[in-house]
Amino acid sequence: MSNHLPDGFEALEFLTDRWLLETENERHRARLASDPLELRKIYDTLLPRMEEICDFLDQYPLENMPWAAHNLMTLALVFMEVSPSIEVFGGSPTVPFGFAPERWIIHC
Amino acid sequence: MTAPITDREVKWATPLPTLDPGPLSIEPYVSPEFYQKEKRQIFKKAWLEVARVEEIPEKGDFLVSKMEAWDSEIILVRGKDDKIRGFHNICPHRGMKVSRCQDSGGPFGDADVYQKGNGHVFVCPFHGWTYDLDGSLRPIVGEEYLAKDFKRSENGLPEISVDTWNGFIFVHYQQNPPQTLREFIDPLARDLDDFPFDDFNHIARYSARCKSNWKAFIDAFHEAYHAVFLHGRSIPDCGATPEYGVPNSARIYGPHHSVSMWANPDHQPTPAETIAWKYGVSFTPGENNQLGGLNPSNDENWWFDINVFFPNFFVDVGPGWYFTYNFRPVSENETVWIMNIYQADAKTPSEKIAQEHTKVILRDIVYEDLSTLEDTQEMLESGVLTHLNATFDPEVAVRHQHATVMEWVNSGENS
Repeated sequence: MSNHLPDGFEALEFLTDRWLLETENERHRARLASDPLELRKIYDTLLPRMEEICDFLDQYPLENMPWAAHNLMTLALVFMEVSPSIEVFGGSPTVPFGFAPERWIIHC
Repeated sequence: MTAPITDREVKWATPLPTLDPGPLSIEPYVSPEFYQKEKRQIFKKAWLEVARVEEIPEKGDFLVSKMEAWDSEIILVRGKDDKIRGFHNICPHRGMKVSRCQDSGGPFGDADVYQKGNGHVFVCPFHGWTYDLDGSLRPIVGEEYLAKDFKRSENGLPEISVDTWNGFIFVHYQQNPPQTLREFIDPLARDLDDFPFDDFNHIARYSARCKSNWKAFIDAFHEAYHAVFLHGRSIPDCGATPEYGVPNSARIYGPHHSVSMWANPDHQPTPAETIAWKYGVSFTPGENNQLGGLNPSNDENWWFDINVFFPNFFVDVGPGWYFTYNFRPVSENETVWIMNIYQADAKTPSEKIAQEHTKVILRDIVYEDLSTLEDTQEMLESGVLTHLNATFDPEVAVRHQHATVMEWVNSGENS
């Protein structure tokens, strides 16, 4: 398996296939296209590592992070993206009974 | 008689104007004729927010925005003297748009919000008539063929009034508005003057085009009563408690108003929220930072303030973020809605991760807010009902907007 993440975070490597997504829009569209079990797996994998990830990343300046650390931060952003699905929407990728996502424009 | 939903009562921090306690007429939400009056009597007579100054930071930067309620399109441009001016996007020669930028990007295009560019002059794509950034017309090829009394000095780009407040750019249709921007937005603006707008950065923009009357759209955002039910999933113990439905305090300033939301002191944060608050600030209730311009009536258990600048601009401020809404009417039953979120600049990776929580939870909550609009509009247009039964205290903002719109539409109809 190629190594996209800093040493010590190998257990998250399987997420790098699909989830190294740079923008909120890309992450949101990926969440919408996922099934609930996949979102649950991402959430359960990342939640127990989130504080460790934040503390590890804070050794670097935000604007000048090594490539692997930047990838790790992207996974932390993915955690935030999927968190409402798991924490409040019963696993649903979309907001239940919400406005149509294909008509919701994310500009940045 | 059922028990009251809370012992708290709305604290009225300003004198309450006389508001008809009766049902609200549906006509303003569905009538094409009424919308034509609103365009004349409201949107061509009020200061309207369009963008923030950071959108056009450099000399020569400009943006082009549709102004559907004026049946026009405008250019805002930062001149060589750093002054921001506004013009209708029309060449006085034959009426062509002088700026025809290509879509400036964003994954789905920003066309519904605005397009941006930078230049030294505006050159009309039709015959090449050229305008300086202050709107003045440069010498024309073929000027000798124009009417003898044609004056270039009288044929610059048609100007609109522009002024700023705390970095927000407002425009006015009239070249000599009867009130300055400051006169129009005081004293609501004064309540917010100490908020550190300049220290915050843009972190998200969302937009949607919705088949909803602009006022019904706004009504979904300036009362908390809906949260008790509609946000039962997204924010179960902060929005969706009966108590939340009654605001802590409300202030009515002429056509504008401001409402302060109640925060549940027993709120139980989710795991993601807990992480966000450990490393930064999120939208949901947490630690209260002492920023100026917040909680103007010193409420206990305060969450955030909804500040509504008549007719169609919101600045909602909280302890470490603010967000804005613009509601641009397109017709009596269509509106372009734009949301921008701002937070203090993330200085560390973990602060950026915390910011992401602010974005996604706000975004997903507002997905719920937009979900009712088109179904409501469709049924309002059925003609089955003639009036709506808004509550008084919890939905006072709905009543105040309705009364203000009726006053503006009726006051000048003969003028």
